Amino acid sequence: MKAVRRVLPYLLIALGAVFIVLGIWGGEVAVVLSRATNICLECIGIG
Amino acid sequence: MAKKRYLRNKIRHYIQGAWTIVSNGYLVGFVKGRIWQGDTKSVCVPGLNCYSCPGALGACPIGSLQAELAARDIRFPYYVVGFLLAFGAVFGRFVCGFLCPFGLVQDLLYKIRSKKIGRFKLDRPLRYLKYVVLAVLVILLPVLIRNDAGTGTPWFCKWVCPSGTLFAGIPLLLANPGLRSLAGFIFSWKAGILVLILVLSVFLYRPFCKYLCPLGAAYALFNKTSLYRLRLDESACIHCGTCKRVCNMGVDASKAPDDMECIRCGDCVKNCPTKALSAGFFAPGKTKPKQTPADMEQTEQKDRLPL
Repeated sequence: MKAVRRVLPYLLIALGAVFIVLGIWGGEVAVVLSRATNICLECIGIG
Repeated sequence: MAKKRYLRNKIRHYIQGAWTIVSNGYLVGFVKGRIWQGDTKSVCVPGLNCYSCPGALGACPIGSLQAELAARDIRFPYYVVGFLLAFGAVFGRFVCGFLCPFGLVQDLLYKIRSKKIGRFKLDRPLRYLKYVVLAVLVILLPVLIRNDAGTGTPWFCKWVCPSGTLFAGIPLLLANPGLRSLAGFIFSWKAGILVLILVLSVFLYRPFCKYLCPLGAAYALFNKTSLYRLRLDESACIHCGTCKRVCNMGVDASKAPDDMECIRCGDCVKNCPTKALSAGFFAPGKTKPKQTPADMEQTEQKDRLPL
């Protein structure tokens, strides 16, 4: 259990990196970018 | 000791302020009522920083997560979850204490001299509300409720987020008459929530972070395993209760230094009379070496030296 706890943060960081790469590969960057570069009407209380 | 706590808090506020300015550096946007549209907007920042804030150079992870979940093609949001995993595994809720602009606002409001609300009966149960907000408003509703075009709504951004109202809604409406003319019931509702939270923040420490913030809820899940964390030297702890007394988040660091509510502000570390607590990047599972009587004597002598 202690060994698992010791490696867990590094596993999570690695998993995070893999997920980011998968996201880039799957075209998710475009979704985030298009949302973030246009004024989000919901966020400012209009939409 | 009070002076040390003041200095540490001051340094923390400088870091919070510097990060807020760096991550919202497109100052022209505030004057012209428009937002930054560069490629840096595709990268998530760690804190709750609305991407419609005129100065924002990055993307809010909670807004981005909802955007992905509300998209027409529903798929697992690898990209944003990846950022959350990485930030969470490295920092945990250190992000809340040091890298969140809305956390800074609440910190500063709490400095206003007034009668403060301490611990109350519903405090702990109410802390679970932020997990409900994360699960329901951020994840479930954007996925489940769809319009005719097949897209969902970012429920948290639309109906709750006070950070979006403060850093995006108000500056944009002030600088952009076209947007101002469109403001209606939803804006009034969100402005009401913002005012309520800001007023509460004067009397109660970080009410939004404690009870409502979905990003804080996400990072809280990593607090027990994050690389940046508190470490307790049990052999040095005298169970005086100082750490619990000085903690504005209501954490007892002598019992649970990796409590999910700890935002790593470091108040307990600075106030611990025996230096049993320390904060930093520690190898997981490693315990602090026991202090010998000679070490303790050395520490005491160091503390007695004039600054």
